[in-house]
This record gives sequence, structure tokens and C-alpha cells, in this order.
Amino acid sequence: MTKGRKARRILLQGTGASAGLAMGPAHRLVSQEYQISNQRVAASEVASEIRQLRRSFAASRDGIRTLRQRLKKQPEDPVDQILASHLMIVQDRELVREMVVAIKTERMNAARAVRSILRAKARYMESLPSELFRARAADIRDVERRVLGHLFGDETSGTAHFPPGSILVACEIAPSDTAAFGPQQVVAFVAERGTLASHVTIMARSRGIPVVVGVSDATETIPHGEVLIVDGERGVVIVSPTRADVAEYKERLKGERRISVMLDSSRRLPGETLDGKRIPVLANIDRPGDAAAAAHSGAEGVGLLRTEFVFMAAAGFPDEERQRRAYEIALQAFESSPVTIRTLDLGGDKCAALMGVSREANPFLGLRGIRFCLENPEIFLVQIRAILRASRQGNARILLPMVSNLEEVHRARYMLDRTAAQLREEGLSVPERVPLGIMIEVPSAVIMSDILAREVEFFSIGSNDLIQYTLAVDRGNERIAYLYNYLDPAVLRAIDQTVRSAHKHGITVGSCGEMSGETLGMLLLVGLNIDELSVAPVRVQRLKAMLSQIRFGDLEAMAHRALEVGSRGDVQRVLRDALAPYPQFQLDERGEQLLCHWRPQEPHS
Amino acid sequence: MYEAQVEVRNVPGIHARPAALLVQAASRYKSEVFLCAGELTVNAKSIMGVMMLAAETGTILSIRAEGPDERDAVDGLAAIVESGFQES
Repeated sequence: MTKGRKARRILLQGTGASAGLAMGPAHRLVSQEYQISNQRVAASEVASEIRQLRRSFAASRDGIRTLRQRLKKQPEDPVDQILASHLMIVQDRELVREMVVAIKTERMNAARAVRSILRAKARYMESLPSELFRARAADIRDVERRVLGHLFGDETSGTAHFPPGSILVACEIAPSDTAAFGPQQVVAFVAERGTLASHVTIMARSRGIPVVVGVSDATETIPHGEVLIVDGERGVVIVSPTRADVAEYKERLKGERRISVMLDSSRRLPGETLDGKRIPVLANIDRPGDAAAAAHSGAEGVGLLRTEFVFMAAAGFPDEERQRRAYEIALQAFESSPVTIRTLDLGGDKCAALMGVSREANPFLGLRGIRFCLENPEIFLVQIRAILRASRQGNARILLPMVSNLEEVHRARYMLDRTAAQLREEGLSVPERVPLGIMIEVPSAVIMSDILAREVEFFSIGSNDLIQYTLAVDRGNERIAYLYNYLDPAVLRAIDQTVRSAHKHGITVGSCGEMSGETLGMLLLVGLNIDELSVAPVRVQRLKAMLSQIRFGDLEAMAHRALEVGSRGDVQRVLRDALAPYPQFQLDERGEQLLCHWRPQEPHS
Repeated sequence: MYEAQVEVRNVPGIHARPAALLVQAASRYKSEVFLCAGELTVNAKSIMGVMMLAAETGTILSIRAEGPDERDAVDGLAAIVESGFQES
């Protein structure tokens, strides 16, 4: 904290990579730039340089082993997998041999051999088109730092000490750094480089630590020790916040805490409106390991288990056994409550980066979701087999993403039935029927929903894509992002049509997009007669509490009126009128956005 | 010297875990083992080398070995790549 001169407030915008809110002093991680001599070593020194090189590699190996033992992570833990891959690198004899040759023939000193060879490799990895391979450059730089640290006798390298509660600011946070950081020490990360797919952000997300990446010049702009507020959801970093900023931060944090204390008591209650309409609240989870925590937070099942985790950088594409075990973990956490497993939804934004498949001119209209699965039956069939085999452990449902026509359902159903028959032939027990459902996220699926409803056991509305495709809006495009809004009457009508088709044929329809997690979106979905809601685990209790404070009858009437008007402005007016009798749902207009803040009523004593 | 060509079929290619599996397998043989993709040839016993290969799905990989157990080495590695890196 700078004394004397008043620091100027700066607002930095990056990309929110892990949600959460934190405040604390900036701790700038300046990657130790060791001064390495370019002098050729004397012939008599060569042997000693080689000895030092080997010793520093051995010390690095021991250091990583000790760290792994200290952390005692499960082998599936991403931190452990990263450390395991670093261990392989420092044990790479070929790599050491290459450095030895450089010392012998070019008379480099050990440090220079390490740096020049590893930097060249890191640079090469960084030049690759696939993000997955590019991400490995960070591992190489990490290893370089570790080995050089030992060469320079800097024992603390990689495990720097900093005041508890600090916010790390760095060019790039090294993967192994996160392993050494206890959760009490670092409250947030701010980095110049890094992506949503990088190790650091994946780990931070799993620990609920806010991260903002892509903050250019962060290490230059942010003074060491200066107070920061980091908002991992909006991707904002406030340097030297004003009193008003701090007040707002504290208010938000206090609100969060107060609500969470209040909510904790209602955790075990089922999702139900004030007038007794039952609406189960389920969780969206990204990894099977999160299922237990979701169940603990009161989720009444999993409405969406994304299975893209199988493509996570450190894991690779797992075989049937591995997948089966993963799905079983999720199913067992919920016993008889449904766990909806969505088959691989690659493509669009997720595909190019993860798979290195040829870039499509228009990925959102390309080979994604079920299209990719049907095109790659060797991947799809392994997944179906794994799900079917795991399904004995609980109440599994299979959800197909991005369905846009009936044939896709037929083909998937055929593959599912055939796989089940095959498993039975192999003598394995498979439940009589595992419910098959489809995501409704493309206008053609809405238009054909009455036909599709006859072929499947449930629908799940994916609002994010449904809004984007219905309104033809790329929300990443800043100039038109304002058009992307679930309050658009066309979106509401699409949802209404889907729900009616589903109910006509006696199947259930859930919603698992961001709309279900937002107050107004949730209220509209309930009013439109959706059967279940699925949201991030952290929002489950909140949603249940909101439901318990509002009448379904009022929401239904509100939705009916919203379906009769023609513009977003009119929809907003309808909502305003309908929610007027509920003081705990406060509307707030910000530019084009209508937001709804829920201020829960304290329970009467 | 013995050599065989295989196609990388697993998605998304030979990244972290598959690379580790290949290196571990290659290290079990006495022969020198090399992998070539495009213009790059790397030592199959070096994790760094295999990482640098950055072989994505669809890459045609040449596996070449020289030594007492060259045939076994090539066949062994080819089987791993062809199985899509299933651990069994």
C-alpha cells in the first residue's frame, strides 16, 4: 500500500477466467531473470559445468517429487498431472545430453545451455497452431525457471513467499506455482498471458479462486503492494480502488455472505414455489468430481454434466474404463436423483482450440455437437458404452447436444440401442431403458419440437445458443452484443413453443443455460412452465430460496402477457408490473439491460 | 533398421498423456527409437522430443528403430498409437 502520494485509480479490463470477487494487496511475481554470462567456458571448466548441470536437474527432480508428496494429490488431480509431466521433462536424458553437447562443443556455461535450449523449445511450442500444444510452452518455461533456480542456488525458486491474502500479478503464472500456493495465501490471480484453457485457470476454477487473464501490461501498470479489487466474473481489475469501490465491494461480499448463511438453512428443501408448484433445481457440472459438492449444496440431481472434461489438456481422451469410472462417480454422488450426461459437445468455440481440427470459416454453423459425434462414431460409441455401463450405479440420462433434425435423433437412438444390445450380449447388465433427451438450442429443433418430442424422453433448453441462433447475434461481437438478450419476445416464444410441444407428448423440459441462473430469466422460465432448472452449483440454494418466495400463478400470468407483446421494451414493462408486488425482487435498468436483484427477506423469527 | 508408418487416430493427438505413454513404452526397449512426422525426427525416449512433434489427429507418423529389439520396439509403439492410446 503506497503511503504519502495518493495513488490513481485505474480500471483494467481483461478476460474473466475464473469467477469470484477478491480484494487484497498486489504481489508482483517478477520472474527471476538470472544474469547469464555469454563467456565461453575454458576447456578445464567443461567437466565442472556438466557436473553442475546434472546436479541441478537431479535437484529439480527431487524438488518436484517432494512437492508432489507434500501435496498428496490424487493421480487424477490436474496439479499432480502437471507436476508429473514436469518430472518427466527433468528426467529426460536426451534433453540433458543436448545440453551437455552444447557445453562441450559451444563451450556454453551450464545456465546458458539450459536457457538457450529450453527457450528455443518453448518458442517452437508457442508457434504451433493448436492451443493444446501451445499451452505446453508454459510447462517448459516453468522447468527452465526451476532448473536455473537450482543452478543459481536459489532454493526457494517456484515457491515464493508472500503475505497471506495477496493477489498474484504476473506475466504468466507458472503451472507449478499454483501447486505451491495454499488457498489461504492467494486470493486471486491477474495475468498478462493465459487463456481459459490454461492449467492455471482450470485449477483456479476448481478451487473457486478468481482469475483475470489477458490484462496487458499488468506487471507494468500495477504497483507492487497496491490494493486491487478483482472481479473474476466481469474480468475487471481495479487498481487503487476509491472509497466508493471498496464500499461497493464490501456490500457485494457482505450480501453474498449474508445470503449464503441464510441459504444454508434451506439447503435441503426441494425447489418449490410459494404456492406449491414443484420445480426441481439441478446442477450443471463440468467434472464428475464436482458432483458430490453439488449434491451437498442441495442440487436435486445433475441437469447437465458436460463431458468435455475428457478432452482436458492433462488427461487426453480416456478409454471406456476411465470414462465409465468418471461417470460412476457422478452417478453415485446422486444415488437415485437424475444425472444428465451430455455427450461430447465439441465444435464452435471449443473445437478449434482443443482439437486442432481444421478451422472452419463459420464454426458455430459447422461440425459441432451431435454432428461431430455422428461423424466420429469411434469416439461416440466409446462414450455411449461407458455411460450405459455406468448407468447401473444410479439414475443416468443421456443428452444429445445441438440436435437440428430428426435423423440425428434416429441415428443416435440406433447407436444407443445397438450398443445396449451388444453389452447385453457380452453378459453385462444394462438398465432396460436409459432416458434419451436432446438439447433444444437451434431454431429448427424448436420448429420441429412437436415431432422431436415423440422420439425422446426429455428436452433441455440451452438458452445461450438458442438466443444466439434465434436472434442471429454473436454476443462476442461488441457492436451487436446488446441484441443478445433473453427478454427478446422471439426467444420467449421459442421457449414457449418448446414447452408446449414437450407437454403435449408428456415429456419433461428443463433449462440449463445461463438464463436459468439469472433472476429474471429463471422467473420467466418458471412462468413459461418449464419442469426443471439446472444451474451452477453455487446458485442452487439461491434459486430454491427465490422460488420459495414467489407464486407460480403470478409468474405464469406474467409470462402469458410477455408472449403477447412485440418488443423487448414491452416485455420489460410487463415484468416491471408483474413483479411490483414483490419487494424482494428489485428491478434495475442499466442501459439496455434490465437486471433484477434479489434481496431476500430475513426469515421471520 | 526397421520402420513402420501409422496414423495418429486419437483426438486431439499426441499431447501430454499420450506423449508420456509413448516415452515410457519406448524406454523399455534397448534399440534407439525415433519418431518422424513431416520434417521433424525426434527421439522417442525423450518426452521433450515427443512433445515437440506436436502430432495432431491425422498425422502420419513414422516409427523407426535400430538395435537388437528394433522389430519389437516398432511394433509395440505402432500398436499403442493405433489403439488410440488406450491403456490396457
